[in-house]
Amino acid sequence: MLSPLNLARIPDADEALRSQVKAFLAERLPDISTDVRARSWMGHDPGFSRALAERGWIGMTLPREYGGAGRSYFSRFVVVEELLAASAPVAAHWVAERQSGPLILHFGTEAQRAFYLPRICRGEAFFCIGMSEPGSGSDLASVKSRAVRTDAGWTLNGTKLWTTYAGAAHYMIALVRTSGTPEDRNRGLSQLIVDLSLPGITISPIRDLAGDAHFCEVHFDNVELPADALIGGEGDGWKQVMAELALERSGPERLYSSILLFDQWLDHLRRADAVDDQSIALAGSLVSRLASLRSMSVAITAKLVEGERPEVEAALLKDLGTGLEQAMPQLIADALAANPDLVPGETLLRTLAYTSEMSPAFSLRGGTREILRGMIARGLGLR
Amino acid sequence: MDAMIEDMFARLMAEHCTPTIVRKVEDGTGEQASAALNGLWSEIVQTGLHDALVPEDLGGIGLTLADLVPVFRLIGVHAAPLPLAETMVARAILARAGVEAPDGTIALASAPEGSDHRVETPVVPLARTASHVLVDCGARIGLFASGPQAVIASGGRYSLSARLSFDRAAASAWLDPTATLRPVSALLHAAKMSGAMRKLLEMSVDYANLREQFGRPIGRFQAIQHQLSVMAEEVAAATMAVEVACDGTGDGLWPDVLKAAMAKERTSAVAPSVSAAAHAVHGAIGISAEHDLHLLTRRLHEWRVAEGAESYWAREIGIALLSSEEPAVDFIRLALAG
Repeated sequence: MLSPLNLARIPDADEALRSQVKAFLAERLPDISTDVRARSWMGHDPGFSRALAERGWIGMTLPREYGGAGRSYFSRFVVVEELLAASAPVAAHWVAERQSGPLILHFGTEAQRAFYLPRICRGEAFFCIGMSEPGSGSDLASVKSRAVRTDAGWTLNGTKLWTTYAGAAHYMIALVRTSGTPEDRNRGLSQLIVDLSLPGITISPIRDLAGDAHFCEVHFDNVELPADALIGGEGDGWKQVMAELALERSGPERLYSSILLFDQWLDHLRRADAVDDQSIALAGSLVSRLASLRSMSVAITAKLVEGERPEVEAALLKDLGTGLEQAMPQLIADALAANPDLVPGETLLRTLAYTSEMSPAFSLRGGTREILRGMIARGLGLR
Repeated sequence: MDAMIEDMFARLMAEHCTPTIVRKVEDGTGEQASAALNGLWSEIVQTGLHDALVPEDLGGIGLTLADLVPVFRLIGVHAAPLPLAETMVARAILARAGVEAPDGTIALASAPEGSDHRVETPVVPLARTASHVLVDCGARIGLFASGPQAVIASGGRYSLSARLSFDRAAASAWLDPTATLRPVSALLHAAKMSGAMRKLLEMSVDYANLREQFGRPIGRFQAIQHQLSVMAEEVAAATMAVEVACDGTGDGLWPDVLKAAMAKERTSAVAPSVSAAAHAVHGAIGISAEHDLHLLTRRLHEWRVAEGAESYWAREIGIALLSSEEPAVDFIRLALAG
């Protein structure tokens, strides 16, 4: 059985960063319309990412010797929470900062750390994660992309699909087969760092239902990689991918994808002459749900600070959090249309439209609801 | 300190608050029932836990609501047939007001402004077994001796809940309140719910691993696994809300109203689905009187609505949120964080 999470508090030293981030955002948040800003951590702005890097807010948990700030996950939580609460466009550096940096720190060689980490911290090396393939979604262990050892390193062939911002990234960390066959499942998989400027790589953007093109198809045709493209142990890819999951699933980005819509709706209610009881109760219940999940996210961050890998707790929070992110546009749309004769402003309507359209993605990206519930069931001792 | 008290209380409840004892009390008010009640109560008094929240200089143990979260959860886990958590809070309120506490248990209630002569409460859990009731009558808080003459049955066959009606003049003491009773009383119900829901999850997982259909334990079926996973999620989030609220007392006794509101809103909101999932997994056996499931699920439904269900507290939070100018995340950080 899972034991209850212990209440945790963000230490004052980390909390002190908050006012600095707020001041930075007041000055530097790009002047884009609200419905565009609603893209939040799917909003891509390399200039904004580099401005954050200049303040030392990218790779904060990485050691100073590699260009990081040597600070705790609590510091990162405060910075990330403020960025997401403001729906700042953080996509450019997001994956490198959240996952690739810590992965390289934990499993990389000294040479890999010395090369990649300072670049990540300066906002110069953007990463994407090559996991899904045309035939491999939730069943990740069935990936067919294959790297074969050569005298000089590796030859990579295969296709990655739904890779977010591959077209704007410098590197991909790809999960590929380096030995055996797909029947070997999670044995024989490895992680390779792929320089996306190499010959033989074709990246095609895929338009999404809101008209954006963030995810991509990446095709590898006899791509020659150096020997040091391998990150961590050969055959350890699955284990390494699993170690990333607690980092990927427990952060504020699993709670705040609809926050801009929620705040705009609250402002709409605050400016209204009268607010019906149902809308008041809905606002209260949504903020109550969000507050309890935020406390869980802080409690899981405390476990990361302690050096634990709370994968099951993270799965649990992600399922709850993305469920709330999806409930927000659905319930707010109903509250707004409860009286069809009252028409809200067009900015709120456009933000609602975007958030509603994209909300199915919230529970797909980073592991589907069904996969997460399977992990929780295992944690409960049911499988 | 916490762990020692939790262990001691867990052992006490395991021995003196068994499902058999709970059933005896629920089955009637005969000799067996009163023997069971007296047995449990005298054990509690011997430990001094009834004065857990009374300050040390007033003769108590001087603990806070936050210290007692595990104890409140255990009260829920064991479906205690006496208002134990309520008595702890009531005795602390009385001690601080300089009023000598009566012997026996004390339930908590809030009565709307009514007639000048009568005090009529909404449905109060465990009203039928409480010796006394502390009633928040708005302007003042009155202490009333309870008994069959005050009880207006308003629950099911085995329910210990009831409405209460007193002659206003019958109060043995009147206190000038420093806070209203409803938030702390709601928070106690929330804390008990979080314990009861955790126990339901445990029972359901165990049963799913034991019960076989189609040649394998039903817990091997994905449909059952996912129901239990969702249940675990709801229990975890509600439990966290209770932790935040019990931690958010200035003086160890009176909770912050908004945090208590969050705890009651969250636990009440998920109580029906957690209860339903537990019954769904157990099938018909869970409906039988002899199975322990209903000792908890019946209480969950009572505690969910006691002192205001989720929509009451959601509205309270909503009013505070809309009258502030803060964006949601700042509001949460300033008003609803641990």
